[in-house]
Amino acid sequence: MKRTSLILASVLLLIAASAPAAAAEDAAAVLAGVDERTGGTLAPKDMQSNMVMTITQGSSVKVREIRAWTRNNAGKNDDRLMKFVSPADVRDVGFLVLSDDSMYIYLPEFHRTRRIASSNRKDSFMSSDFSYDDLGTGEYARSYEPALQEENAGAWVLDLKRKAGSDKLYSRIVMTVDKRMHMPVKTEMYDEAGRLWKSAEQAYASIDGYWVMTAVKMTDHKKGSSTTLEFKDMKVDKGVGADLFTERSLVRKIQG
Amino acid sequence: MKKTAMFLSVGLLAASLAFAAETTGPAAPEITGRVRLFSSFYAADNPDGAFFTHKAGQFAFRRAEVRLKLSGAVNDRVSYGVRFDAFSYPGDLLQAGQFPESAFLGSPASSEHFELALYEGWVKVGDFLIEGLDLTAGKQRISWGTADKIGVVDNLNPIDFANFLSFDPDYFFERRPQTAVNLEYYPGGSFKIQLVGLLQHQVSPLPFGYSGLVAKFFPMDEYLVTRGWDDTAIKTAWGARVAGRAAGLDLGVSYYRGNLTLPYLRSMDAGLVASGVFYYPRAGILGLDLAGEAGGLGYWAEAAYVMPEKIDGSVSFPIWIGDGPVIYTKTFPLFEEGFWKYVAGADYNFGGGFSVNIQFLHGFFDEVDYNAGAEDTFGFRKGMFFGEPGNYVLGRAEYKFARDTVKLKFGGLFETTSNGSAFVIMPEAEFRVADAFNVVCGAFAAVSGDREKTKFGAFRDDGQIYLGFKLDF
Repeated sequence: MKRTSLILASVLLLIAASAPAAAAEDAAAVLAGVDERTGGTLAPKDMQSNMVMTITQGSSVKVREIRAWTRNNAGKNDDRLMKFVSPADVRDVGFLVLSDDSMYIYLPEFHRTRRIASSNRKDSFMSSDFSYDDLGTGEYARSYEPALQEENAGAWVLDLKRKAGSDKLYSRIVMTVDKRMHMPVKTEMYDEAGRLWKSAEQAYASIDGYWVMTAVKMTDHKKGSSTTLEFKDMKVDKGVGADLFTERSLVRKIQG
Repeated sequence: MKKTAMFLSVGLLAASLAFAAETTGPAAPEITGRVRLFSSFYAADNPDGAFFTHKAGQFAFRRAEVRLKLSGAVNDRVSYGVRFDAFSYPGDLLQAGQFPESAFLGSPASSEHFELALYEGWVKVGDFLIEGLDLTAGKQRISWGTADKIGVVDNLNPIDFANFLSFDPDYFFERRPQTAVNLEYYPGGSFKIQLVGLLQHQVSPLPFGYSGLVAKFFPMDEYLVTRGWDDTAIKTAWGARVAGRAAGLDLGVSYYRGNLTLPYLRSMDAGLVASGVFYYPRAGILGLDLAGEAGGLGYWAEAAYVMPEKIDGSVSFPIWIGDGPVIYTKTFPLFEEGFWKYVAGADYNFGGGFSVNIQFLHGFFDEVDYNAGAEDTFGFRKGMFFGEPGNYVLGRAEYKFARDTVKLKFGGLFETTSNGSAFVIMPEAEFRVADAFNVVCGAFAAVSGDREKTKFGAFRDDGQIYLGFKLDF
């Protein structure tokens, strides 16, 4: 009897000990799947769209338009090129982010291209509720340690804690991942003090076999404002080459 | 020369258009622009100023300006841009004179006037003749070097000296476009080879009344500004630059051959009529530039080794020998054979809307290294305009809040030379009233510095407060 009890207790202990490890492994797998689909080998090789940004605070509504091109560099940051269309004082301003985190801005008034420090990623993007960092593709696993907070029939809820040494803006992210798409549909972002700072809700459409984000609404709970970013005329896998993500493209007018 | 240049540019454009197979049709041209009002007034009396004489509250500068830009693309390879700037109230900032001065500045003393200027007018052709080669022909701002505004490598776009003394922040340290043929070749990756030929000798616009200013420093009755260059294609200015990225750094090496864009005193005649001759020296300038970042800190640096032409300066004056005067002329080399100017800067964004920028500059845009003979004879020294290179620390802290609708900026300039130091503050508040409409209020104040021995200390009693309105459309 004693022996049976001992074996039973050992088995229970083993199960209890291995349960968190299994959960962690699941969380890592879920997050890896998200990374693969948002910026890895299962993501579109390239995307281009016309972005319409609507910033709402109280009765104030402001609209910005941007043309954007993204090239997926699996395992690294994406290359991104943005050309501002409106408002008038930023028209034709260009913004280039290369995979090694080099960032450049083009000021058409002076035909001047200047490199900008990556510390500017913390800044608000065009006075919206998005930071420059928010617009980058996930690659969450590189900067966050995941844990499975909850699982239901339709979604996993991951609790991501920022890794030591990471320069990411948010100390913690709670991400709801839709099981059907294996894409984040809701993301809550926390500040250094652990308070809820922002939350995002993402919408997707199936384009050429990929789940591609078509809209995201970012709410800043500290400011009491929100920004909706819609991706219109989305095109994927059009063979956008690396030569688009250069100073040459940053300064020239791009048609079509 | 102008005719040759025109034929050359027309020929190049015709050739390029012939090669530019249309893959996308022409897009409707865009018309954009700006309406801007700017006015400043003095904060204190200064009846005996070196630069300005005024009473407290007197307007220093008033200007309304309108920009109109037409731009578009003929197809995905050929684009164009034309910008006209219209200014009201141009007139004397200092006093009228004989220098080739700008008419862009205005003062309350002048009657209403209007000036229209072609700021830029260019055509750009991508993949011109060969893949990866872009041609931009016409009046244009040429991208040269890496520094933001305060650079030493860019000698192709002359500094806008006329507007420098207006202390208008939109024009402070700005440069003017030039008529040029600009070839940029991108062989692949981040590598770029650039070759620029200017179709004219470029000069910096000088403020109205500049000769009146010069008269205070070099008492003369007459001034002659000589262009002193051969008007041939080979003798105009040109530049070549190679740039690329390595080990996370953006690096560039350039060479410029042409005239300096500001007029320098070359000879003085102290006869019955005291006169001086100013000219635009020719020089070769080797430029090195880099930009990078470490730990979120952005940094950049430029160095220019200036090699002015070997030319003598002179001073002539009468001496009495026997019964009458004999003109004695003393000559001396005008410049040192070569000298360095450099700038290094860094910026960091702390988040929460707070960012800082700081840079160290050796050699202001007007400063050159004179030979000892020129220093002794003409009195050139550190701490004066057109003097010997001095050292400057420039910085700016910026805090923006209320969804970037309010920006508070605190700029400073610290001048330090062996002759003394001076400190200038430039606080500014900018309010974004609506999209594309800004109101700005700020000040320029030299709060310390010897009025005689430092460049910016000379403005100790010329503190100004300004107000501006800017609408883009």
